[in-house]
Parts: sequence; structure tokens; C-alpha cells
Amino acid sequence: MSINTLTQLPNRVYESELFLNKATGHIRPGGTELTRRLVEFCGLQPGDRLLDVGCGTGASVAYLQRDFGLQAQGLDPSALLLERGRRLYPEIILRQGRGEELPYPNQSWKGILCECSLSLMELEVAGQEFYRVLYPGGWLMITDLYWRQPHRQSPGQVFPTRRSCVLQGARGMEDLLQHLQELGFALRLWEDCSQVLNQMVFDIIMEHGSLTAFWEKILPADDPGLCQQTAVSGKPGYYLLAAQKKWGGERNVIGKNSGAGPARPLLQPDHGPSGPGSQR
Amino acid sequence: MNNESRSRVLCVKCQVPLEEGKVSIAYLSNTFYADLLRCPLCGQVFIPEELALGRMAEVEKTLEDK
Repeated sequence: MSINTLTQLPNRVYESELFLNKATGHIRPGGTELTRRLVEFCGLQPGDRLLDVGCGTGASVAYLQRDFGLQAQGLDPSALLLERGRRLYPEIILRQGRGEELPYPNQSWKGILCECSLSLMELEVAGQEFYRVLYPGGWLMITDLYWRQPHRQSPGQVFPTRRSCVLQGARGMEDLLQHLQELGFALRLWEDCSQVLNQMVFDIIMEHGSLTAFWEKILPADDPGLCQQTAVSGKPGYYLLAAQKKWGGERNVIGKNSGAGPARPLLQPDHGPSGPGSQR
Repeated sequence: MNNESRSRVLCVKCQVPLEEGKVSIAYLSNTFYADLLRCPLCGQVFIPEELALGRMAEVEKTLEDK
């Protein structure tokens, strides 16, 4: 796809082939190592049902199906990326849709995976949908961008572009964890993985010469210098997170536990009644 | 340097043509991976001047700004 003029630019920044890691097929920082870390931590077993929300071309779906034997499927709003994915991975199931409106019945998935895609969704709405479609004790697995020094205004107001990109929806850690707790999820794992951003920056500079040159290609109608300055001022980082849907009765109690601050990482998965090896 | 001339670069020690491959580059506490020319025998890596003074320097500057 040629991306020389504004009219040829995709509406969603992540649809641009400039973001495609040609070696891995992923449209995000990092390769499969973070995906593997999450699946292993959560103890997912062959045959477990996992939904990748914001799957892009479905590279992770194909990987999880092939290497872990999961019943993995992908959902993404981008018809362009899904079309690419169906050509690349004809063996997997991809469906068009949004995280805020999941086209699946209640309690139908053991795990939900969002890799660099949660920031593109309305967290409160998508989070309720994740809760609805997960089994009790099911896993929400996320890797995404976050601000290590959050801006005072909401990022959507700060980041100077009208095009859809993760920098608009990224949050600070405390804000994110507070929301997940209120939505009914118990945090089991949080890890800072900002090293993958450094590798991404390295790759971008090797290919495009500088970050500024990259911004100019991605956001030509905006102010690339201001975009870069805004991004740098928030100290972008990258995290990996696993949270577990609480059992029915726990949810409201936790949701009303305001003022308790963000959940603390427990670092111990609670496999509970729907844990590894259990019958569904 | 174009692809043809790159493929003719010889290892000064082993006198065999360098081959493109993934190499790790350590900088401060970071390790990066890049496709560069390296000797298939001794593993010595060729970093062109343009890369060292241009893009690698840009990486250093950018990471220091972060």
C-alpha cells in the first residue's frame, strides 16, 4: 500500500504498513515473548477458548493456535487488516467487530487477549463486555502502552491528532488499575516491559532515519514535532498485565471499595474452579 | 552502499564474504537486534560509517531524550 498523500492514509494509524513488523507479522511492539509469558502465567491449556480483541491480522491468534493448541479466534474493527490476515493465516477464525460490542454470548471465553489494542477502546464499555463474555475466573491478558508520567488532561485531549492511535487512549498505571478493579477484575500480574519500546524505536530509526521522519509519514496532517514532544513528555512505557474475572459475589464489593487505590500485584494466579484442567 | 557492493565486503581476518544476519547490539542497558553484515566464520560484524554516525547516533540521542 502506498502511503504518500493524506487521502491515501488509512483512518486508523495502526492500519499503516509502516507499523507492520515484517519479521513477526505483528502490528505492535515486541514479538511473541510477551504473549507466551501471559499464556503461561495464566495456565491456559490446549483446547481453552481465547479471544484476541484488536487482533489486527491475527498473527497472535495463529501463534497461539499453533504453539499452544488454544481454540483462539480474533476480532478487529479493521476490514483492511482482517482481509490481510485471512490471506496470511487461512487456518484461523477472524471476525469484524469492536471490543465495546462483543458479538459473543455471556461466559463463552476462558481468556481475552488485548495486545496494544485496549488504548484504542473505550475502557469502561469494553471492560464490561470483557467481564460479560469471560467465564468466572477467566483471564484478561493485556499488553499496551502507558504513560509513566501521565499528562494532567486526558490523553485524548492532549495528543494532537484526530486520527485513531494508541497514544490518544493510553493511561497512567494507577488510573488503569483502578478502572479494572472497579470493572470486577483482580490484578494478578503487572510487569513493565518498556524495553520493547526501545527496540521499536531502534527499528523505526534504522528504517526511517529518525523518529521525526516516522511521525511525518504517519501523521502528515498534524504537527509531527508536537506529536513527538507530547509523546516524550508523558514518558511512554509498555506493560504486561493479567487480571482475573472475580467470582460473582465479589464484584460489587470490590467495585464499591473506592479510595483503596489501585490493586497491588499479587503475582499468584488463582486458577479457581475454572482453572487449568477444569471441565467446562 | 548498495546491495551489490555490500555483498562483496570481505572479512579482513577470514577473507570470506560477509553475510547478512541478525546481530545483537548492546547499548547501555539495552540490547537491540538488527540485520547487519557479519562474517560467517568469525562472527565479526561490519557497521558502515553512515550507520554508526547517522542512525546509531540518532538512536543514542533518542533514547537519552526518553
